[in-house]
Amino acid sequence: MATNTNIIEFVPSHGALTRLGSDTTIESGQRKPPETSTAASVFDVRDLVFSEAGNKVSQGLRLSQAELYPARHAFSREHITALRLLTLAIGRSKRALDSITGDNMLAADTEIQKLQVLLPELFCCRGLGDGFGTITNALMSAFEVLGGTTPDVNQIRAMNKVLQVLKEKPFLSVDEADDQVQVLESVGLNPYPAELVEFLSSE
Amino acid sequence: MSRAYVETTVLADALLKPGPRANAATSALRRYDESLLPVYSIKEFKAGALAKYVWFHGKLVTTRSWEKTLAQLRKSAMSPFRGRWVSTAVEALEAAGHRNSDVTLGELVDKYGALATDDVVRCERYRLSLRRIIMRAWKKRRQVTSSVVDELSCYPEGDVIEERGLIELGEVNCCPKDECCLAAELRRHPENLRKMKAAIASQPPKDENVKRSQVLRSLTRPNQKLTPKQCRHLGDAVFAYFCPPDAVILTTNTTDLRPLAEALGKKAEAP
Repeated sequence: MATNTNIIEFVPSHGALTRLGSDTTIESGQRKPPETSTAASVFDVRDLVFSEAGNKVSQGLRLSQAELYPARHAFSREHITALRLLTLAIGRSKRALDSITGDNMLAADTEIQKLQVLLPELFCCRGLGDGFGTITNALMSAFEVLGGTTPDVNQIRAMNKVLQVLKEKPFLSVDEADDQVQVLESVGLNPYPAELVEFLSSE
Repeated sequence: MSRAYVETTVLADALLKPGPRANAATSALRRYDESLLPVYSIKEFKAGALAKYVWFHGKLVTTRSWEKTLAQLRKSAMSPFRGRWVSTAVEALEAAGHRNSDVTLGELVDKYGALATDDVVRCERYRLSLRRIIMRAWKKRRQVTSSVVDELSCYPEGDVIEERGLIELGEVNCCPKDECCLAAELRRHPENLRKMKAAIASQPPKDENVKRSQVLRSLTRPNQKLTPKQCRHLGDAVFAYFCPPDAVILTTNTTDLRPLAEALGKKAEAP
């Protein structure tokens, strides 16, 4: 199980690498400036000195093991896949909202269907952390409970918002994910698998 | 002004059973001007319903397989869920395990391997769901009612944490220095203890009634210390005894609680 931590901004105290953008995402068709290309390019291990106690010291900078850990997942295959799928999902939800504004419910529902089928693969990227898995699971459950009914405008807006947060912070903690699941709950979406809820409530 | 004295079963419904059961519990709480949650409810909740969920969650973590967890839930002698295996809820749970072997999943298995098999995906989804339900339940325990009352000085409520993927409940019992902190207050009205004992005598002779009756009797005797185990056996009697006279005990277990409450001129209602 992956640790539920986020990428932290690493600011080296010296050297050519001077900035890491907080946005770790890749927009399709958009080149990223060289200084923000990958986490690995910024994370210069030579800047770190390991003390006997295992603490990493770099001219006053101290990072815990948990803080460093996400670097292993950053821009891994599942990270890239997740960002690609999230970009698609956000686009679908945006187009669904636009279609509703244009009073084209059929087009809106079609977009939502296309969003829904992205989720199982997105869930396969849950190695990014339990926070990521928690949100993806909640979205999958929400659709299952809707049972084919098109979510309303508020619900699609909430999904769009949550997907954007997930794209911006795919390594978010479980507590942060919990806040996003609450956003879904606040618009009447059920974040748990229906059969599990039925089982737990059967006593 | 109407007041509810909230018993463990209602707390568990409100916190651990998302959906209709939780809605019914929270709606019931809102019917009263004031809802009082005794810490004894929190103690029973943690050692009972919450511990069952933690066990279920632990099985998902350790087996990493929904099929294996299901087998444990169904067969294991210690499974707190064994009794449910005749309900339609279980059919829904089992059916869900068979209906997702669709084309999309097949493609994902080719791409992601075991990580995408229905067994593992279901296991992970239930694990994440249960984890959220458990952690939120503990976090919200003191927020479901308008106030928390009757603090227990010998009960360390502690915290619920996650360690190596498993949820750790910490201490679930009282840790009295001498005896349970409720003892002195219970001994102040021995006549009430006798009334409750008499009420139990007219109930079916089930195990929990026998134990409760024994503890009530020992409380009326001199030089008998109330132990944490006995405190646990008192259960429903604690709610009947400590419920304020102007409040109603809110419980889904009216069968057991009503006779005790009525013996003391109090009321017990279901949500």
